[in-house]
Amino acid sequence: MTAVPLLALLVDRWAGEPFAHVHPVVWMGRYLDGCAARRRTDAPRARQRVTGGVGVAVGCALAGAGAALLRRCLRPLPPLARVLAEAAVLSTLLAERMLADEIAGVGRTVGRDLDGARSRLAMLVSRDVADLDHAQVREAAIESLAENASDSIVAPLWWYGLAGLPGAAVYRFVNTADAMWGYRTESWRWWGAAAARADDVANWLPARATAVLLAPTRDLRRVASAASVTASPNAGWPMAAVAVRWDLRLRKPGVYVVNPTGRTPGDADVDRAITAIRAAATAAAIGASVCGRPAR
Amino acid sequence: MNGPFAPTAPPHGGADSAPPAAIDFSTNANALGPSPMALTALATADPSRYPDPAYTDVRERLAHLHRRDRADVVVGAGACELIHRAVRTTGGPLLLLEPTFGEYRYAAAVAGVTVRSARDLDAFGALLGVAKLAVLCVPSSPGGHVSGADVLRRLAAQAKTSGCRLLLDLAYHPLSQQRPPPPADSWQLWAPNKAHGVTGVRAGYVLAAPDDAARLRAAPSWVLSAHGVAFLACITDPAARRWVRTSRATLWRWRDELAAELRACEVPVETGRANYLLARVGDATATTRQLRLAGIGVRDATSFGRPDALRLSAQPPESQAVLRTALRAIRA
Repeated sequence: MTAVPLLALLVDRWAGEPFAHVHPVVWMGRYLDGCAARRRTDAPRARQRVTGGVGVAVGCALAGAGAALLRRCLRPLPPLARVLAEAAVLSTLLAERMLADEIAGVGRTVGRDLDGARSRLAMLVSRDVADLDHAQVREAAIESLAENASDSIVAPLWWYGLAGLPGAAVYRFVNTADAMWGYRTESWRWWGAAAARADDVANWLPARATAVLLAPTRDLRRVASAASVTASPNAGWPMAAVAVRWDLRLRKPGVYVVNPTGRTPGDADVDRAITAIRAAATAAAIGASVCGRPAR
Repeated sequence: MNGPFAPTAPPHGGADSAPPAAIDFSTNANALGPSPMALTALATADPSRYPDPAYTDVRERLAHLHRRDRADVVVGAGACELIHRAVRTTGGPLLLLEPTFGEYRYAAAVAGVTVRSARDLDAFGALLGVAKLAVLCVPSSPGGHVSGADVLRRLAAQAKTSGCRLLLDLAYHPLSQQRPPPPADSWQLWAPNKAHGVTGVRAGYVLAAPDDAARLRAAPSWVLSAHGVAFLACITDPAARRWVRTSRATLWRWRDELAAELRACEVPVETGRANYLLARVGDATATTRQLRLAGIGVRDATSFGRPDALRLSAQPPESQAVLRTALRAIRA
């Protein structure tokens, strides 16, 4: 038992990023950019794959060792101060609260201002928003929020519960590496293959756990079959859970349709999804608090 | 000199060396302009003497307009000149969210500074720690999309703690249908010659924290001409601001009418919140050339990374009708 994950979630929710000057994601970005600057796209594919893989492995080791060292430095502090400090550090690994707020805002305002919602969405998601109608904007918002809940909250808390602060730090590194290197374009796909694969592995269980938290009373086989339509082995799970729970159809035009027989989501469904996603995050923090070991 | 090659300037909309197009969709300047107040101010400017080298009075007026301090205001000879100054002042790397205005890459090449490009906001946020200067256009060009105020605040805070300056390019902000307030701790680049329809007057300004502003002020003496000073002073006048405010609704209506016209010609359209839109014509370069021969200027979006699209500004119904006829003829 440890109060750290719950406190970290509270800090993330109410205070935004107050400890941003020790923002580990910025250091990770610097490391990843430094590695990628040495990338040679004319090298043989196998060589690019291996070098990119070594970059990810070394980065994981650095992130984990850094977090372990920090934890050791906190040891002389009195217990309460130690818990607060660790919660502050963990909150910087959760991140993206404001992005989630922005997506929720898009979902909520689409009924009043379709063009405005589309324009804000265009800056957040990688899809062509020009021809999206009210329903498709709501669907895109729900999909992004569900995916975001898994990536930014449940997964880091999961790894914290399993392996403490180093676990959460390594997870955040892998996730950042995928965001920066994991592109399918010819110039990135070989170099970024290891980052993409590592992210798939790190999210495999958390994405499924998020689905259970989002739709606790539903038949998981239905969720699993609805989730199977996305290219990523994980991304479909949280959105499928939301889709199955309220029987919604969630589309990404020209790419996939989750639960095609479901209803078109309305404004009330966006609000429901936002509430469920917040509840799932809280449940994940409680779970991580129960499983996590107190700092010794 | 750094290398054997001189950087080449990026393509822009608007005038070229040929006679001006009779109908011009290629610049995003306010199609209702020039504003009468700006013209009066320019006509009464006194070119017989040097302007105040510190530009004290005009900076005071601009500061008052934005409820800032005079020490926060840096004036320059238009957005492009200020962009080059900003890049030179911070050094590299320069972080861009692609696609974006081509002048940024050009400024980096001129200053010998490396460029990092992000394809989405997540990567942009993670790369803030790598860059010395990060640029976000609000609204974006060529898409005309606008980030929410929350996102801007978050990016500004993240940039600040990463030791990176966030420059918000607000050139088309006054004409946008959505105008999130720019966070006070970012650098704000304003280029009012667009909104007032006087792009031939090269004048703009940056708002920044006083220390940064002092560094940004390092430029050739009298970088802003007497006409530039007169124009910037006039935009602080309530009547001139009212003129821009009342013109906006017309521009948005023209943009939406233009979108409808294009769709009627079976050209798919992407509209954001700005006074311009993207028309997906297929081969943008060929269509641009054909329309130019018909006396119509459009902006080929190839240099923005969109070889399939033209960027078109909101223009009056008569111009729309000419464009429709020409497009029908080309596509027939």
